[in-house]
Amino acid sequence: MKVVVTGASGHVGSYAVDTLTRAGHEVVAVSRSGQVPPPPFGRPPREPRVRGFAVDLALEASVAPLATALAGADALFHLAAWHPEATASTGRAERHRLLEVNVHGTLRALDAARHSRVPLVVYASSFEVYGDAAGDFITEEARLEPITDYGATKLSGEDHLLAFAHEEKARVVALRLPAIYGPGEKTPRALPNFLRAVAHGQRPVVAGDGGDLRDQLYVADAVRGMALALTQPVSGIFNLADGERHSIEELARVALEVAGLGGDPERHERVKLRRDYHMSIDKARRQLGFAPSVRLREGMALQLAWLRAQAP
Amino acid sequence: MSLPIVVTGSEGFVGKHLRRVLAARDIPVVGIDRPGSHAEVEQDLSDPELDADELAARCGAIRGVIYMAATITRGSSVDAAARSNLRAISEASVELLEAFHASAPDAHFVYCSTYKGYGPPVSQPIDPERPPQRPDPHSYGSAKALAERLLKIAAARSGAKFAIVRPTCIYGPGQHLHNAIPIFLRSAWAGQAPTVFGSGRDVRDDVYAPDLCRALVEACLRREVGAYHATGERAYTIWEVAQLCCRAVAELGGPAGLTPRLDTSQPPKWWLDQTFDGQRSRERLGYQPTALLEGLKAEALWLQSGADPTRAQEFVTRSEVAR
Repeated sequence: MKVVVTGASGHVGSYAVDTLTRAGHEVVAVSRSGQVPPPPFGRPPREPRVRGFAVDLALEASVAPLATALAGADALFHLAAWHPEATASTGRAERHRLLEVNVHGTLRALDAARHSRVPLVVYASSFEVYGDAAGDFITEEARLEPITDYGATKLSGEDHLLAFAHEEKARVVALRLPAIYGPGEKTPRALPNFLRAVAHGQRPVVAGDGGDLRDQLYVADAVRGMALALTQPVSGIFNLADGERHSIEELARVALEVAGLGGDPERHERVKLRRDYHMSIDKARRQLGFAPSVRLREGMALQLAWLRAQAP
Repeated sequence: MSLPIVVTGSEGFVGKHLRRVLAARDIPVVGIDRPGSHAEVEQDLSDPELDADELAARCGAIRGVIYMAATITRGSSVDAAARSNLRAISEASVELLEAFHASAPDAHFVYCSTYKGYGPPVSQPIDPERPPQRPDPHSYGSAKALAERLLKIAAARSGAKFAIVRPTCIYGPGQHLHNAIPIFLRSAWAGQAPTVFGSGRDVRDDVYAPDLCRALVEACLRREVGAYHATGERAYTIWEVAQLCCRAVAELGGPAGLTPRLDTSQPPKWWLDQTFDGQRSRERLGYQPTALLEGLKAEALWLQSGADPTRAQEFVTRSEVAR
């Protein structure tokens, strides 16, 4: 199959390009630079069945060239997005960029898919669409009340994706992803921060009791979930995560463990209200046949190995 | 004279109704609408380079803002026109909320949204306090839903207060002629039975444009926060609406004895049976919707006179005087 991947230079995108290429698909890797991302950490070199394509979806002029890249494509994996470092505190300038990249960028990608009559679009959404409806077992039917600009822009992408599906009679799969971790992750959030700390022999710092639940998903599993959309004849919105309940405290403890340090994390006073995000992945298991394969300990050990392999 | 109210989209179908409602209360208007619209401030709100601070400064001292700038695009939900419309509906609204909050902190902001953001109802009648969930699969509802979400997030951050008014299907003199009500009315004037697609049992709620405008003005003047519905007197089936259109025309001396015709070979395009809780609007905004038959008569007369958008207000006034 011919699969076009936007956001190919990103963390999930580079894994998607690699996994799809190795699965024998003809892949077009779309990014601003147009360079083909190298195989992810620890993966061997691969056949050059992948072509790079330079397009900046933040620009209005991106629709026509992307439509050319999509000619004859069986699927578009629209993974291009901007994720600010701290989604909870975005100001005007950041909101502007979020709208430009995540909303307009998605509409442009869909417009290009419309021109090229692409029959399937896979879209990377986020658990942040739930926002205020945080909880311990969030199903796809839960209330949608984003409390971050990032979540609002991701939800708008879903809304337009469904409009596109209705108008173009196309199949769409939106995956509500939690924080994605694994080698190559550069975001400054709990899990990578903890691993960076332990890599330097320091203790992770946890706020309060660290009891807040945060779903995790290993990057290769996220991509496996996306690839299932190619073979399962489903359409709709799916939560995707590793299916287990993870607290911030657990992330800190596992970081200490995989680094061979043991002991307890450091504690600071809690400044934010507790908010749990744990999604049910029953629908993805049932309809996509999704089965997460990398458990937290294994995935964090791999990410630590990658961190240690980086230049000191 | 009191301080003016800023109205975005002031030269559109609803904007003109809003001007009349405000004029009747001696409230001056600073209209903002696209270049060539002859609004007090000509500004394209879909301009990606929009300078909201500069625009707010140009409006000077004001009493409130009623934001309704929007167009309904007829093409794809993701094409260039839809993307441009999204800027005016979503991005400019939140930019202006923040800009006016800084330049005129006492001005109250009211956003005119839509019922099209709710999606399949969880319970009926729909409680306005439930935020929009899954918009109709079209860019208009999606853009309005995005606007509501961004406004809420921005307001939580800045402390700005605002109200949302969600109208149902808006009708009245001046409306676009491709909508169901003008099609039914024109058909009745021509002596032809209006055609209703599907079973005719689909439920709809139609709000008379001047009623919506009164709700927007009250929400602004009373400095209400939260969400309100602007509905018709009650929900009707689409067949009943077509029947009332025939009756309105007959009572105005047009062709009589017409009954709507059902065409079951074609389903309605996209339909959700929704009813809307208007209690909050009645209690807090003093909202009293016009009887559908009365509103239809005003629109029927306007259509019969040639459907000139610039003369729409004459027919509203005439209808109000007659009552």
